[in-house]
Amino acid sequence: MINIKEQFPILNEKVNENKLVYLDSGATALTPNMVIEKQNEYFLKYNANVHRGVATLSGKATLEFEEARTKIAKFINATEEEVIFSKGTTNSMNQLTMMLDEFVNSKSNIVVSIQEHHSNMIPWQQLAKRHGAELRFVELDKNYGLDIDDLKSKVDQNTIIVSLTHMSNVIGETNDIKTINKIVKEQSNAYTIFDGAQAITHHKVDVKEISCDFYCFSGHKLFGPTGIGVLYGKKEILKNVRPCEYGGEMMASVTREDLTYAELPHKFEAGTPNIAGAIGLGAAIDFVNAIGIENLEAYVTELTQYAAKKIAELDFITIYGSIDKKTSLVTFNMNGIHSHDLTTFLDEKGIQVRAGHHCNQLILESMCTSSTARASFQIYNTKSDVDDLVEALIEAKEFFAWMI
Amino acid sequence: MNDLDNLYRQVIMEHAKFPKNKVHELHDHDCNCKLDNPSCGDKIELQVVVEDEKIISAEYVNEGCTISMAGASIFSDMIIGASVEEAQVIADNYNNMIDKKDYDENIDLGELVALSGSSKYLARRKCAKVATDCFNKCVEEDKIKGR
Repeated sequence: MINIKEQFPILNEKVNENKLVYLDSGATALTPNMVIEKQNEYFLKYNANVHRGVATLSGKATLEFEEARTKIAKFINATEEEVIFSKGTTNSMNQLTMMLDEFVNSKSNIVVSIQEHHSNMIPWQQLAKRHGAELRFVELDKNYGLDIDDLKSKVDQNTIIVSLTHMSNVIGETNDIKTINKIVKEQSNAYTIFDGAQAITHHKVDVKEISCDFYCFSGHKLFGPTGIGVLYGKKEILKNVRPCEYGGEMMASVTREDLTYAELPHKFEAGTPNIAGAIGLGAAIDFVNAIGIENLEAYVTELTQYAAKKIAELDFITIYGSIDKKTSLVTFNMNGIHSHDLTTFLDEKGIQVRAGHHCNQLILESMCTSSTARASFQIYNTKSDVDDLVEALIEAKEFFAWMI
Repeated sequence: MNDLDNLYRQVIMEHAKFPKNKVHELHDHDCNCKLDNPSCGDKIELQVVVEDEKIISAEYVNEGCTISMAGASIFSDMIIGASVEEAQVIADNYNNMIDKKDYDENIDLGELVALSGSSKYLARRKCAKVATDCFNKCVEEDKIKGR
């Protein structure tokens, strides 16, 4: 079994003269030593471009790069041809708007939900706008969960794309995307896309079982580096859609007039990729596999439930969403105190939480607030971190008592 | 005084709790300026009215944290009676103080000095400057009523 504490030396750092309590993994996970070392290995031992020529270094770099792809493919039960390296979830979504552009027209509609992070809303909003298509929103139930009946009423024969989150970054609840995918496919011929930015590190993702057309996630929320992510697409679709970028690596042969495309997935990977990032992400998959994604899910769910219940006991705090459905994060406000003031107070105690609208202004509007605090949890957090947070919240209430 | 106490001085808490010149709604939107702080959701809409070269009112609607509320209250109150140019000098000096840049210490910043504690917190500097930045935007976009 892997020693978690040893993998994260950053946890020994002091913040504002206090022990670091990192509760912002929903924004980015800390990076384990094995990922840092694997990335460094590329720079120290085989720093060369991939898929270029026959030299030894390039060969070794290519081997490691493609091995990372294989690990990712196995991790989500895809084939290597279906795993495209991107810069992250946002970039994957934007690439999809270009890949699917030709299927959208003024009669089409695109369906997203109020739960979506801006990265899975604005690209579709702008794509719809360019074509005079309609952007439809699936509304939420009273606990800010997806209203499945509303989804059913929004998807019809003119729906061309349905892009929904697997796990809300504000409410921290998981959507049953296998069922959602089935509903969409029964009611339309729409392409189904799921945003796995939050879910990828908290649940076993099996794209074949979900049967979705596309699934996107970022490396850095899965203990990998920033600037690397994945766009999974079904092989038969990828074969038939246009690439988003043109240049080296994505072509098989070129004439003065035209080109033929490279094999999948290289057709979608023009230019020199983020080689160290991809190799680092491969090591992050090794890290998760060493723990076991099921163990990771069980541990973080239990910890999140512990936190949600402890925080809910504080009568001066409002928690958003159903407490018993929280598996990775808790979003809350101290009544009468802006989340920025609260998080500055917590920061002074070394406790790092997120404040603001979490890149989702629409869900916050539905929650009748413009800003919340969010504590999110990972494998390296402990109940003692939660206790520190709860204690600091009680102190904060006293500090701001005059304002409340 | 520790950093937190320095940031949340009593005068700031008082302005945030009982803000001056804050209104529920502004009319005549043609001469207003809006400013959003996209990283956190602080918002302000400011309406500056000038008569005989002097600012006679500086009303706003806003939402946000204690620091942004206090900044708007103190600044709006300070510029009433001043000319637009004088108010600009106050805004620029104050912004420089918050950003830890050189500023003219001979310019009286009044109660705004109490907000200097936010300069230690990089993420909070924007909160402290949201009202002064909005005022500068009003001037830049020539949206001063009566001018």
